[in-house]
Amino acid sequence: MEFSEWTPDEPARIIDLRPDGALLRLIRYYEGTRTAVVHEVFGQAYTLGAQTAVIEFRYLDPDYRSEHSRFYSTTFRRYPSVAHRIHFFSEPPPETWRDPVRALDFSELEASYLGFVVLRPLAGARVGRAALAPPSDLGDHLTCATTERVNVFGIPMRVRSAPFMAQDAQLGVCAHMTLWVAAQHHHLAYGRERRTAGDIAELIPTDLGLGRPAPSSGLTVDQLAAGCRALGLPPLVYKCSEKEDLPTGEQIPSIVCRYLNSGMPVIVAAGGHHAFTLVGYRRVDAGTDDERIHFIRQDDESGPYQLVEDFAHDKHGEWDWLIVPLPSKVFVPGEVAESLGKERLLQTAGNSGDPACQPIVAGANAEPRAISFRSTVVRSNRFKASLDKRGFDTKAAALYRRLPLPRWVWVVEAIQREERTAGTPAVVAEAVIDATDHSRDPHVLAWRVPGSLWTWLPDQDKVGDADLDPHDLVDSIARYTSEEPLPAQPT
Amino acid sequence: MMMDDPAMPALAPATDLPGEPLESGFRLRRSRDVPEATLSDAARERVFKKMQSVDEARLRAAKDGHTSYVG
Repeated sequence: MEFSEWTPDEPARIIDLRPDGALLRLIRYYEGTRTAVVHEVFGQAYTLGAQTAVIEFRYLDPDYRSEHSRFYSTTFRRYPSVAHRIHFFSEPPPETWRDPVRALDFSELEASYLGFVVLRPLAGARVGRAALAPPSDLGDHLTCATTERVNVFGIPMRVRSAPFMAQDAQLGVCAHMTLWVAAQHHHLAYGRERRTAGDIAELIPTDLGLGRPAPSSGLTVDQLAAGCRALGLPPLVYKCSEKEDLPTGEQIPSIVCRYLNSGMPVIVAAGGHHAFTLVGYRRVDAGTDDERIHFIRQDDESGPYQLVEDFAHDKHGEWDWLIVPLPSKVFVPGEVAESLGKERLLQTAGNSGDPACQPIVAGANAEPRAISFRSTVVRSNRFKASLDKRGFDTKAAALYRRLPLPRWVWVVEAIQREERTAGTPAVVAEAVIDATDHSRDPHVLAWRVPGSLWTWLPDQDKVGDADLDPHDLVDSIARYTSEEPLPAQPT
Repeated sequence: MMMDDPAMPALAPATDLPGEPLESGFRLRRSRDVPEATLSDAARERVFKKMQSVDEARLRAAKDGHTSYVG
């Protein structure tokens, strides 16, 4: 492609994808020298039912611009400083699209918006930032979904998606992209600062690695962790290549799912050479001997929403490291919160005279277990705001709402497994833990079991309790960690 | 220490603040008077063991982070 061909005179082009070969011509135009991710992204749009594509030719993408200013503007070979952006819609082009007089109105396509992909003017690294709706069979399981808002011909559009970007292979490699996905997610989900690909390359401390910063030859795990800290998301780092490297009683899925339930992406370094970001999971064949977890990953060398059906035999090799970027005020690790919350609930349920409490203790100790525990770190405001929607009765909701709580809390829920498998409300009890609690003097701030709700007031060192009426099972808080609830409860 | 300014009107006690108190809805007691609200020794022991194993796992990870390359 000629340098000048990248920026034609027309501002945009509307493509009807319905005729045979239309999509293929688009792919051929953009595929460049590394075709895999281009094919995957366009293929996903096609599978979602894309009938219209809109190409913006002079798109000032902040991420590509940051790569250009830090790297591509410094080379002998010239690269355009603008990117293309393609929007996809599942409806055909509007009637007015060929009419030069009538205003082009895309508002009728708003509901059919499927997302966008940014394309760099780099033949070897075409796909930049992308926000595409997930494949229909994975949408319910994308726990790290956020809402991306854009504007097409003056019409605001939105898509629920997980952020994705492929590496440019010069300034950034897969490890940088994992940091970008985490940073972009925390930006969209929690309002943290927007960080570009160029920012991230610059944030990595070079003295923690051996390679040159650009072109990048990869990052050490120390550099990845330092990158997280520089982003204001200090990580928990788990070595997991050997089972005995993990905390006692833990496995990779148990650790990962706590953070995915919380809407916190998890970075995985695998096979000594690749890194990717987990953004969701689904439980399959639940309640059977074949029960297992499928993970959903943003793999910058393959594409968004890649399903990992067997993480123990992954094509990228053994999972060596888990790196969990977290808000700085989440001091308590999920394993500790779950241990504390579980003990609290089982002791209170065991002491209670309420007949609905005994199945909790029995179910947690039975084999196979009828009760399991799910831990979610969530903003306390969101915990309080979701109580009604989740099915709490008026009194329990009022008691929780009046409690002073820290910004982040761990919520450890006792879950009835049968109801969880059926996809119906499954939470029978929960404990709320201060995410900034002291590691040598841990307390539960509030906990509910059938018949009663308890609190511990740290300033007064007082305990409060209140009687509750018989209560239906409620939805898990894990469905309500982001701005919009997940379509279904996590499995 | 700052001395009270005799010219300043004394602050009214908090109990005289206008408005209605919002009750927490809980029966409140001192923690030491509610033994069932304190974790049993065995339960605390299990929690501390978990904490210890998490700390140990973190130390194991810290040893190798500088030599493992990705990307």
